[in-house]
Amino acid sequence: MIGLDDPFQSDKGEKNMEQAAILDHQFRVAAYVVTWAIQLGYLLWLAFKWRAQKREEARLNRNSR
Amino acid sequence: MKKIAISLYVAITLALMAWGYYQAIYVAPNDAMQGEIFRIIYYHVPSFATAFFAFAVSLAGSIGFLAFRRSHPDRAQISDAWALAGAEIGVVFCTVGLTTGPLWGRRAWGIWWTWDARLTTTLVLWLIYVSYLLMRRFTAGPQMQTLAAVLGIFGALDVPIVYMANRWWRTQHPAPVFGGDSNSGMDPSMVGALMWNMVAWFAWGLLILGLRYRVERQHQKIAAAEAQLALEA
Repeated sequence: MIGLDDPFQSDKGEKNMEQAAILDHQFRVAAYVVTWAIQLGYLLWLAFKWRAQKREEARLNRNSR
Repeated sequence: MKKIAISLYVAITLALMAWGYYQAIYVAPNDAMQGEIFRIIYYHVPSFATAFFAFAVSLAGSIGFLAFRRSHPDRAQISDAWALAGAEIGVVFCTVGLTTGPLWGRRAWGIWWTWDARLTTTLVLWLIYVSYLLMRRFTAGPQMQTLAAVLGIFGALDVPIVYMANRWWRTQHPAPVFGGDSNSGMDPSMVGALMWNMVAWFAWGLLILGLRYRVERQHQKIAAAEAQLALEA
């Protein structure tokens, strides 16, 4: 039976907890980074689309004159 | 005046995003059971809430298009632009939710994905709207907008099913945090962070929804001008 007063087991348990906390942190950061990457990536795509359309509009205006 | 109002809105939205992040990371405590990984909730839940709102905009736009397509062509085009903008923004936010969810699930449940009712209906919702966008991208002709409107309405029918899935069926996904049974709810120290992030992501969603609508209206005007030029040639 594992007792808390067992120094080896207690140390191992602490290490596991520490490792779990590190993994939790990494996964949380990954989730936040992915969120911003998707949102900013979409915004960038939208900006490119907007600019391309502005050019197209200018070309049409030139042709119609 | 309009430019100032837009700039002010963008500034407020960015401030809300920063405040929401601060609340999520520095103010809300770690969850007693899940630790830091629980903080994904501050991005995961608002993303789905905003996605559902965007799909509702798409539904309204689709219905508007079908209602006005014969009587008021201009209004029909405006409705169609809102339908497309709503669907696209909904897919963006749904993608965020479907990405952050497995990252959370891997740590909380030990698995990336499971085919339970909540997750499956959400994936189906995402697939329906992705097919909506692909159809709009790769088909042309006078029937395209009508077919897209029908598909948009069909897709929106899945939203209440997704929302109710963890009430109707037993799921791996947790029971509702708000509006669930007597055991549902959240510690008051966490509610503020969630609400601020809800407001922030909703404001961001509205901003990109408006932008996407403007881009689509511009696209419609260019298409109409091109058609006019072709007729004159």
